[in-house]
Amino acid sequence: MNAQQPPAPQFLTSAAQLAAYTQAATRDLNYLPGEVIVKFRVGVSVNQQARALSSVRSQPSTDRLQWIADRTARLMVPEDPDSIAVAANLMRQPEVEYAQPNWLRQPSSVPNDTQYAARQWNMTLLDMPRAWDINTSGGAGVTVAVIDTGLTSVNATYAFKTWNGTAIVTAQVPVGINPDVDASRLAANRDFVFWTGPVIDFHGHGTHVSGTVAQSTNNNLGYAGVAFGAKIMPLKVCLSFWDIQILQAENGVTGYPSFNIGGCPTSAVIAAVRYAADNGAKVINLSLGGTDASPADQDAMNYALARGVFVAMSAGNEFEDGNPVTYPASYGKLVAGAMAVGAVGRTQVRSYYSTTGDFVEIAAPGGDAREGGSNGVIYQSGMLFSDYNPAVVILPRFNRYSDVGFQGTSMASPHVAGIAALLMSQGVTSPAAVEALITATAKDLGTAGRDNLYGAGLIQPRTALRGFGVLR
Amino acid sequence: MSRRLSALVCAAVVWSAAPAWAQAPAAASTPRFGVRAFGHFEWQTMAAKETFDAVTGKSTLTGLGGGVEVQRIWRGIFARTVISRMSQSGQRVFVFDNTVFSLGVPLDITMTPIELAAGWRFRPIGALGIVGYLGAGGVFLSYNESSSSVAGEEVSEQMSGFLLFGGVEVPVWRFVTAGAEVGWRKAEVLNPGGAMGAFQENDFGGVTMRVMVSIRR
Repeated sequence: MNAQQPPAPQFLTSAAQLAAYTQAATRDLNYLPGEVIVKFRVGVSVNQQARALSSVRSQPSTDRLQWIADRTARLMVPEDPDSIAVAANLMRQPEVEYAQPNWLRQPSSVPNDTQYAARQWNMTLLDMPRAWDINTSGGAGVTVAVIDTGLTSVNATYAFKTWNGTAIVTAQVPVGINPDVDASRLAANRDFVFWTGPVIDFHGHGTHVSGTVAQSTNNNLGYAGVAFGAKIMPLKVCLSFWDIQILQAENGVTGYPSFNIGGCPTSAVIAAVRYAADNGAKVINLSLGGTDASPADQDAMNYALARGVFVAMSAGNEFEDGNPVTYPASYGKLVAGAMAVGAVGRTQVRSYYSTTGDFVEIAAPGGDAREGGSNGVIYQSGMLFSDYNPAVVILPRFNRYSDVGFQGTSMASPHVAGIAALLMSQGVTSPAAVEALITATAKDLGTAGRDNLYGAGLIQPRTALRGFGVLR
Repeated sequence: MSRRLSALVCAAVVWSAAPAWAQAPAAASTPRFGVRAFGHFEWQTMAAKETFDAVTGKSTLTGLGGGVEVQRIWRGIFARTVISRMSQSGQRVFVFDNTVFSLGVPLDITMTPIELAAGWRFRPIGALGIVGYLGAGGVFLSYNESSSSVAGEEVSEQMSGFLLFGGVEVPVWRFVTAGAEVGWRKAEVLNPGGAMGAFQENDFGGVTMRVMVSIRR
């Protein structure tokens, strides 16, 4: 009998799409040129879809629609790079419910130097040890989907093509699972942007965020995670420098991409949210965002909520950059069961970067290097940055882990996701109830009552987990 | 019932049963100021029904107690003091939108009402010598809740209120009387939190039913 080899993983981003990422980086666009997300109205036939698409200058056929969900598709029109104009055209068509550029969200963190820190002040601030006295399982039985740059789910060495400065070469790239995350706690991982193979984090953000949610605890190794008994479902939706570098080389494109290339296209984010909801996740963490409204994000969030999934989202790091409204975080205030999370530092004061607004619902430790220096950020076990720092590394590796400090609302959100997982494991199975409990037990900060800096205040895990007795 | 309370009730019963010069039940010609002690088993259907349903799974608490009664202060008037102790186990909860989520965190509650009351005892009727009585008074209630997994955060609250009661009793053997009593008490707490706050309930009272055994001297 002939053994059959499994098919080799296929890369998911074409040369044309890579060009879109490059254009976006070069022109500092917050969307992928030539890509639009379109949702047709109920009952619109294929012929009617074609009629609506005929309003676009390049007259794309319906073959250009990549379906993400019922009636929602990603339209690829590289001939029409002005996605804002294409979306505006489509919005005017009676067959279309909405159309929007394929926004490029960015991970909501402000990277800090990678260095050792002996303590996790964030866990102490939240009195996590006493919270774990109540929930000793650490959220066992609950799956948290981390929709991000990924969390490496395989120990392997892959032969990837890459640019070495003079030519495209095939490099042996070792990747490895974080030793501080028990591999048995990795749930069905999926990559929506890089390839069909196992999820690999080429950036580090998703690994750090996942660590805060559920890094192994009491294992004499590294750091603790809030819901250390929960399963993590790593869903990769963001491309970063090394993803693009490899994809370019695999497509025969020479040269280095810019350091700031990449992002998390809305098309991938909404597909991942649906995937998480359909595959057993009870909590989703979205530590990413942008400043452009996106009905597609709102649709996906409602889809997840309807399936009993709680969503934690970073409120944004742009306070000093005009303090814009952040999406999808700002949709949290419209629904029960999804929360926008702001950040505080060690002294429980809003972090200098943490975006404020009426959509901020809760606060959690996100770190603040200005008030605490390198010890003021959030540390987790993460990939050794010097192994893949694009400024100095030509042939990277992603299998060595160290102490990594980040700050940002990206770091605050997973604290809330972790608490939600603990609550879910204790029987609070309704996302709306999880939000209500987190809100009701928060420690009021700032002006009395809800405010735009901290929302309801700082999360209080122990108080939330102990719930109500008869009288208190 | 705690050992301490049991000992107290037993001592009262033994003390009141000791003398042999007991009186006939409620006869007008008998000497004034009879004293008797009693023990009882008690059910209380809680006024805060939804709260106790949510936390303990039932809205009725049971307990034991006892008391001392001074009879014939003037004609049929009597005064009494009664202490009961009711306890129940349950789980801490979260209440949202009238849905109760049990959190799996064990919770033990104890309620100790102390009643000071007076009433009127009617004349015996029928061949069995059945005696009816009615009364009213005040109640001082001590409430405690604790949980092994949230040690150090016990809740203790005292409150007061009033009660009404009525019952019948029948002599069963020499100095021993058996009786049944129905009561209603109200003991509200100010600004309750927890499940009570969620359900907007604030009354630790309710309808009580007791079966009692009295021994008089």
